Parts: sequence; C-alpha cells; structure tokens
Amino acid sequence: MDVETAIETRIKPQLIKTFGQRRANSLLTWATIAYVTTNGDEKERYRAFVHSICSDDRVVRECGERAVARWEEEWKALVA
Amino acid sequence: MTSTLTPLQERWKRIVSNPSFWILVVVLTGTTFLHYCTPQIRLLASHPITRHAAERIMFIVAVISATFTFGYVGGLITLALVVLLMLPRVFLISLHPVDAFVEVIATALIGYLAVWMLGSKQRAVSRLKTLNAITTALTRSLELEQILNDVLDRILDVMNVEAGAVYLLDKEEQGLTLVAHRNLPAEVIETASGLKSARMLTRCEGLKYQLAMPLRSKGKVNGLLVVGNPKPCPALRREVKLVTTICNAIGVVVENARLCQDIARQLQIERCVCEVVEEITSELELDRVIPKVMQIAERLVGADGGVVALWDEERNVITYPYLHNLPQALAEVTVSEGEGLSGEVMNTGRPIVIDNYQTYAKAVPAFVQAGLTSVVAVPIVSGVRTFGALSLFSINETKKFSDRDVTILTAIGRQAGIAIENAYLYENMRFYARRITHAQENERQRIARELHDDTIQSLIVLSRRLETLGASDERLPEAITQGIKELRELTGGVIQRVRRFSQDLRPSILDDLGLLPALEELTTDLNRQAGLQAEFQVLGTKRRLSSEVELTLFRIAQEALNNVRKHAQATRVVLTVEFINGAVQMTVQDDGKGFIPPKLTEHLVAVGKLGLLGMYERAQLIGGTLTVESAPGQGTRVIVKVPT
Repeated sequence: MDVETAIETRIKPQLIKTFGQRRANSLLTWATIAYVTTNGDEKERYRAFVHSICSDDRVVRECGERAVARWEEEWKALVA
Repeated sequence: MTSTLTPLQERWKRIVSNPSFWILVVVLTGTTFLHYCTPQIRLLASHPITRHAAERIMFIVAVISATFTFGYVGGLITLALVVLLMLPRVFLISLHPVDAFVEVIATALIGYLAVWMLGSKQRAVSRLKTLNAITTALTRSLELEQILNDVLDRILDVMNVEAGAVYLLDKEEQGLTLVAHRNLPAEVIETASGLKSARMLTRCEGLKYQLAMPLRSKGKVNGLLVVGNPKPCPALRREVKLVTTICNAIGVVVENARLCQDIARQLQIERCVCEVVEEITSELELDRVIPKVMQIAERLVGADGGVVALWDEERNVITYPYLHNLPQALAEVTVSEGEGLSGEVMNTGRPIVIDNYQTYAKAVPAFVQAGLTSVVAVPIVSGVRTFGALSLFSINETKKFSDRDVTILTAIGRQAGIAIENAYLYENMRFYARRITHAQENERQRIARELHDDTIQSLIVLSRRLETLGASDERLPEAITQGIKELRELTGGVIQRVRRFSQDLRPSILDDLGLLPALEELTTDLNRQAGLQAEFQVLGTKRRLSSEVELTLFRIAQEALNNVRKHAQATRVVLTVEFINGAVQMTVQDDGKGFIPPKLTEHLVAVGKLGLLGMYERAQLIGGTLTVESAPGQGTRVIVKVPT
C-alpha cells in the first residue's frame, strides 16, 4: 500500500473516529511536518509520520499505551 | 536567440573573459619559466631570497589571487596546477630531489592553508550577505505572502536550487497552506489539501535532492520551508545551518505578521462591538435593533446570513422572527423547547458550531432545505435570562467558524440580550403608561359628565328656583329681593366656572365632533379669555383620526396653549394641523419671549418643565415625536408629528 492510501483509508478514518475531526486534523498536520522534515527514504518518512501520531501525549493518555503501540505496529506494516 | 552553450561552457566562457584569468596565466607561466631556469641566481645580492624561494612565493601569490578572484574552487584548481608544474623538476632536474619534493609539499600546504582561510572567510561573508539580504526582505513589510515570496526567491538564488515552497501552519493546527512556491510540479500546486501537497512534494521525482526545514519561533513550529533540485546540489548539504537560521528568522516574521493581523482583527472586533452597542443604545424598538445587530455580526464573521430565534412565552414555542438572506416563509416555522440548534443553545446556554448542518441530528428540516451548511449559534442572554439564540450561517459551502468568531458572537449575543431586555422593559413601560393615561382620561370624562349632568343641572335648578322665589311675592322687602338676586348671579357665575372646568376636563365636542372642531373651540376660548390673537389653520385633506390620536393631540394642544397663555407673554399664537401622507403634524407657534429648551428630555424634570415632559411622553406613547424650537426673544414652536 502506498503512503497516501494508507493515510486516507486507514489512519485518517481511525483518528477521526477516535478523536473527532478537529483533533484528527491537528494530529495529521504534525505528522505531515514530521514526514516532510525527516531525512531518508519514503519508508523512513512514513515511519516518522506514524510515530509522530503514536507518540503524541494526548493520544497515549486517551487511548492507552497498548492500543497506541498496536496502532503503530499495524500502521507501519501498511507501507512495506 | 537562445544560447546553445552548456552550463560548463558558459562558466568557462565567463572565466576566460575575466582579465584576472589572463594575469594569472602570465604569472604562472613566468614563475614556471623561472622555476626551470638554471643556474640558481640571487635576485638581490644583499638579500637572502634566492630565485627558487621567489618562485614559491610567486606560486602562493597566484593561488591566493585565484582564490580571491574565482573563489574556493578556483583557488584549489590553481593550487593543483601549481603542484603539477613544480613536480617535474623534482623528478627530472633537481640534484636534490628529496629536498625539492619537501619544498613542493610545503608550498602545497601553505597554498592550501591560504585557500582554506580565504575560502572560509568568503563563505562567511557570503552567508552574512545572504542573511542580510533575507533579513532586509523579511523586514520590508508585514504582508506575509509578499514577504515569503521575496524570501523564497532569495533562498533559491543563494543556494542555487531550482524549486522551493513555503507552507504555513494553520493557527488552529488544522492543516498546512501553500503560500509561496517556485517551479513546483503542477500536481503539487493544484492539490487542494496542503498536507497532501507537502507530502507529494517530498516524494517528487523531479526534485530528488531536497532540504525541508520547519519555520520556528520561540520553539514553536509555524510552517515549513522545502527547497529542492533535480540534480545534486552541494549547498543543500553544506548550508543546512544557514537555512536553519533563515527558517528561524522567517518563523519570527510569520509570528509577528500574525500578531499584527490579530491586532488589526481585534481592533475591527472592538469597532464592530462598539457599533453594536451604539445601535442598541440608540434604539428601543426591537424590530429595528435586531436586524442591524444581525447584519453587523454577519459582516464580522463573514457569514452568508443570520437568524434570530426567540422564545414565545404565550405559545411556548421557539420562533424565528428575524431572518436575513433566508426565505421569509421560515419566519412562520416554530419548534418546541430544546429542539433545533437554537433550542439546544438556549437550553445549554453555550455556543455551538456545526460544520455541516445538513447532517446535524437536531436540524430543522425547513432550514436544511434552505441550504444551510456551516452554522454557529450563540445564546442571547441578559443576566440569567435567556431570550433566544443568534445564528450565523454559510449557504451551500463549508465555512470554518473559528474560536474567535464564537467569542465575538458571544459578546454580540450578550449585547442583543440587553437590547431585548431594554425593549421589553420599554414596551412594558409604554403599556402601563398607556393604561394610566387611559384610566386618567376615563376618570376625567366621568367627572366631566358628572359635573355636566348633575352639578350644573342642579345649579341651574337652584338658579331657576331663586328666580322664582324673587318673583313670587312683591311684598318681600327690598333687601331680601336684592339678596336673592345676588345669590342668583353668584349661582350663574358658579355654573359658568363649573362648565368651563368640565370642558377642560373633557370637551364633549371632542367626542362628538372630533379633533378639529375641538381645537378650533380651544383657540376661540383663548381669544376670549386671554385677549390673545389665536388662529387655527388646517392644511391638507381633513380626515378623522383614531380616538387615541385625537385625544393625545388635543391634550398636547391644550397644554401648549396653556403654556402660551401663562408663560409666553405672546400677542399671537397660531395652531396648525397638517394632514400629510401617513402622518399628521400639529404645530403651535407663538411670538412670545421664548426660552432655551433643554437638550435632553430627561433634563425637563430637573428644570421643572413637567408640562413639556408630559407632552413628550404623550407623543411617544402613540409612536409620535415632539420637537420644541425656541430661543430667548424668538418665540416658541412646538411640533408634534404622529404616524396615522
């Protein structure tokens, strides 16, 4: 799966469902900044994108470390 | 005509056309000639510098000169050339090849040191120049888009890269916006989402070599700078620190520009809130205040229209009496308590922002059909009372109402609440004043009728009896007859005074024949009583008015003419009634001593002009206006205008 498809079909809907539109937009914005400013290949940047979301304090606090770790693993596996 | 030269050829052409290049060639040729010339000679008999020492110095001078003229790379190339020129002598000519080799190495090291130092200095100067140029561009204005475009041009120029983009972070962290770009692929520019565009740019094959940096201010990111090139670009690796510094400078400028925009917006808000307050305090009529407040609010938040919902206490429903840019038929819509967006806002007392009204669970179908998309609703409150809700909306397109919009509208909602409360109080006051006036008039009418039907009739009977008594017996002593006559005259006087008092209380002519005959009689009476020359004029087409209006105009005329009689010292007074379209205007003008009328009606109590205050209030109660024009020595004119 390519990065955009992974974001649009899996990550974004999950974030909107869990946190609502506004908070999801904010998380995706910061993740995109991490994606763009990471030096490396496509995969490394995508990993930075996912990590940015899954290391957000409020995400961890609201969803729990376990759930967030599962998301991170699941989302990172989307882009091989 | 387009050039067919490659970049390398162009650069070579530029170097060759530089006179310094040819001076360098001559110096190197001369020095090389000396280097291979034998035997060694002393240039100066008394000086320790030998020819070979002079050559080496000349070689180093050539390297330094090349570094100055052609930069770090030019200096390195010249140094390499110098080493190549010196080496054959080491291996082929020199009798002491080891010594000669050491001399070449020493010359190369000194030359490199010079090139490195000069190159570093040049790079430092170049960076400073770049920073200076960028700072100048940054401080030129506070127009963010213009600044960022200027700065991007300079960065691309300095770093010698082809493409670049600046994205700004939304204030509420809701996305990135592409605000400046150069030579980006069309699909990156055309992508509606800034986030997607930034990610696409990073993956762009045509700009493989990239540098992306966040724009920071006080550690807070407020945007992104991305520069890229299709071919490898040394500056992208070498100048990371410089770009970081530039990005931080841009970050500060972005923050300053946003602060400036915030201040401008805040000033605009304050102006608009002042405008709202002014509107509210200048009007007590709800039908005039609310539409104005709604339109100011729309302008402030850039909405397409507005609606004010009010709680109808009689019917126990929410109504939508004030609409702007919506079909008027929606004014007939009613919903139960707590229903619809307005109902929810009124129940919770909190503002609500709906991004898409079409999918809102509590949406009122009639408003869905009207095409409402994004809606923001705030309560209309005063103290603890909630009167309704003010809603602003966009039609057929999504608009993001910000926290700032909600704050402004909440303030306006409070002002609207005060306006509604004032309007209700005013309405109540008018209602009670009308009731009191009505009761007073009824009482006057009752007393007047009582006086006319009972008291005056009794006095007339008494007068007749006295007359009969006086004429009944001629034998009555003269003194008694005279006494009866005096009593009869006295009774006649009392009858006259009671009749006049009764007329003043409520002239029957007003009820029987209407305002105009009553006013005419009033002026005739004044002519008789005070010796004033009083005139009565009627302009326009005569018509009967409602009994309330006729009575009010009569009372005002009565009070005004009384004032003329008592205070004006006038010789002439003209009472004019003019019938105009949709209104009637009555004017009482005298040529008396005049006075300075108080500027505000509230001051009338303080100066003891209660009669004038009563006239103002009577006019207001029937929706009319009263104006007093006067000045010392200039007479007085009282104008009352009433809609009919």
